Amino acid sequence: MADTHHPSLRQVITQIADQLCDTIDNNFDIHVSVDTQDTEGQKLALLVNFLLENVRRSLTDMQSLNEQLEDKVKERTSLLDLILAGSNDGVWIWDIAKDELTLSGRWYSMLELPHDANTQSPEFWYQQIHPADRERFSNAIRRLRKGESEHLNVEYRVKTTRHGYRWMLCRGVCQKDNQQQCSIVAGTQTDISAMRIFDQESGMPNERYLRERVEDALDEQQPLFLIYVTVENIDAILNASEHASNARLYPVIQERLNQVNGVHLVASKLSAITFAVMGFESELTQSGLTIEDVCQQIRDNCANTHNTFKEDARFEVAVGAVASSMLKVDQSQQLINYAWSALRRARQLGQTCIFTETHITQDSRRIRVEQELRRSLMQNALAPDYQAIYAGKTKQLIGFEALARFRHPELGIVSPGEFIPIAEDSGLMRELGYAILDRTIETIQTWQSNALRNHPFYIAVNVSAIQLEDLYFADNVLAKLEGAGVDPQRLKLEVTESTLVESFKSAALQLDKLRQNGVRIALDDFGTGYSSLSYLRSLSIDTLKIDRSFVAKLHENEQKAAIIKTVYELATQLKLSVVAEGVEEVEELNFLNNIGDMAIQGFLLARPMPAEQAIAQVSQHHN
Amino acid sequence: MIGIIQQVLLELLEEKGGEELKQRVLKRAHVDPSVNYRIDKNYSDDECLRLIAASVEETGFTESEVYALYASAFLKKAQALFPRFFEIADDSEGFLLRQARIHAVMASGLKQQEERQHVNDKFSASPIEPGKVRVIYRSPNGLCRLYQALAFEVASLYGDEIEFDEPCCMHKGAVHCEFIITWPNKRQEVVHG
Repeated sequence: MADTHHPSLRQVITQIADQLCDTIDNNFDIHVSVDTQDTEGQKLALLVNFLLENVRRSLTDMQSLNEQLEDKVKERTSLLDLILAGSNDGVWIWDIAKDELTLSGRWYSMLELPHDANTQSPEFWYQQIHPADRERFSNAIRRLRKGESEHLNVEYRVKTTRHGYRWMLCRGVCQKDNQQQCSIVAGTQTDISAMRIFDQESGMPNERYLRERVEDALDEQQPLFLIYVTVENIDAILNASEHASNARLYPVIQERLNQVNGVHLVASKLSAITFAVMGFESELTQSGLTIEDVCQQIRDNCANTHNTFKEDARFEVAVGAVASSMLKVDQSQQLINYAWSALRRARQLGQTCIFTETHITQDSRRIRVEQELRRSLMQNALAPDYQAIYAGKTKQLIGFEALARFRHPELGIVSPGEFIPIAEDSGLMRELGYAILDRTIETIQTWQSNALRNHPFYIAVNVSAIQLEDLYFADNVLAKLEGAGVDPQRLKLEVTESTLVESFKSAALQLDKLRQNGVRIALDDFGTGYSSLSYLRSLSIDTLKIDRSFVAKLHENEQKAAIIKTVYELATQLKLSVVAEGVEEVEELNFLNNIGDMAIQGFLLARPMPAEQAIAQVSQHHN
Repeated sequence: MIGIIQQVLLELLEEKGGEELKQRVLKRAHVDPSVNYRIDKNYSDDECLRLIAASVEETGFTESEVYALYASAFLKKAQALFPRFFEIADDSEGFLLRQARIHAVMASGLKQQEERQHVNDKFSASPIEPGKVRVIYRSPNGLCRLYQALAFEVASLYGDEIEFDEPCCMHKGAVHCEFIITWPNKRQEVVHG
């Protein structure tokens, strides 16, 4: 029996149970006490307190562990943030199940977008990507989700608010759920524009950037204009300055090209000396400017000597421009081709060229000529004309000059003045030179065994600078002669001063070797250059060809007569033969004959004509 | 100090010398003669130390003899109260390794967190290697001799033989007492496989 001073063990248990009810609120910070002298009761209270103590300790330990983990997570997150900040990459997490995209602040700022949403739909991302790159991006994501690729690694353009499209590299991995299905895809987005669309040397946008901007503008039907600028004297400016470098010069050029009031221009670097400036025609209209005004402003900027390395140094520029609205342009390449064409014309003409419909017609003719010339060369269908050369006094045949001609069934006779520059621009000069040479050697082979079997003659062929740059040119010519059984003395190679200027040393070596093996060498257009005389000293040649400009009306011009007499005397002293070119009048012939014995080439005695006609004319001449 | 310590001492005195010896000791220790120590309460350390000193003086036994008798009585009491603690341990090594936690059970009866912490911090036991345990004892009461007596009594209870070494002691100026308890038979088993 229990009394009020000594509660029963049952009452002790009830006391303990009542106190334990406080734990219902997760409050374990209680101490169970019992009012009993019963040691068993005390023992029970003691063990309950021990249990409570252990619960408290475990909770404290868990809390401490939790805090440690949180600290660790904070530390690692902060470290990760630091790394990501250092890498300057955007971070993205795509929850596949929720179809929800979480993007970092940097991701938004890379696209110049406000960071105003915690999550986005994947479609939001997709819409930022350049339409042409969306399929590539979708395919890469699909391959990753299907497990066909372990890592996402895809490049695409995204549209920024202010600076057009920029190139991004997106990398990521997939997290799989228990069913091995991709549940989360996460990764980074890196701005690789600097590598893709900027020129490393100058820091200026490159041709790729220009091309993409042109494509975008045309796709969006925004009329634009391109101004191509070649700075002709970059090397001269650099050479004139002690500490100049391209790296310092390009920013100055960029500034000159970009600064036109009222128009936002983007200058790109296309080559070491050529730049492109792009702008929108709508801005021209708004500012009341024409494309000609912009070209002129750029010219004026370039003429400004301020901040060039040398105070009096000006950028000498050629400017060619095209505006998309003036022409029917739907492809970026077409507009770019027109801009190049305008620049080429500007360089040739020495003045600004705005590309027009007329130029398209000219260009199409040019392209056609190039195509047909290329085809003719491949089919070995080019045949030169031959112009006979006679001794002035005896009228005996001395030889011929083979002159490149291009006859086409549809294009008609294409003049050398038209197709030679095209061949030069399109890299066909070497082939053209060898084609003429081959046909000439064939002709010599034919004539030496037939019509001119017992007659000494040579055929002269013009040689271009690019042919003489070939280290094996002399060997090739000699091999062709030997292969055809043609005496090298029957071949005369004509070089001009301009041919030699480009690489005199290698040209001289090739010509020496040919001459030592019997091929004769003539210096063509003598007297038209500045240093013809110096070539006489340093180059071993056989013949001087007096340029037609000295021959025309020489009987009426004392100065011309004096020059030709001097040249003739000089040649005689040097034991060189002389050919007078462009003799068209009897008075000219008589005057030349009075000076001395020289060979005569000109319409007066013979016109250039195909091989069969040329040899027939010679026979007629003899008869 | 938890009341069970004093309760066992008074019961031992009463058993050995009757109520009269118990009262003499209480009187010499200046403790209320009607005191009734509870096992779930904490009492003054100084009071307990006075009771021990008075017991040595009144019984005429040496301190070591008192501790030995006390250790035997304490373990009997503990075994009666908490037999499971003794069943859990396979041997005296297992028991002494748990001793710190058992001591904490006793401290659980204390109401104040500071008091519990104070008691809990007194002991820590850790295995050095099989058959060798290190015990750190931090108490200003300096009852290392009592611990030694209890250790030997525990070993005896399980039929084990132990060697007891105290490389550092608060009585010699150390900040705590360190006991190295070795079970030579176990050590041999380890050595010889």
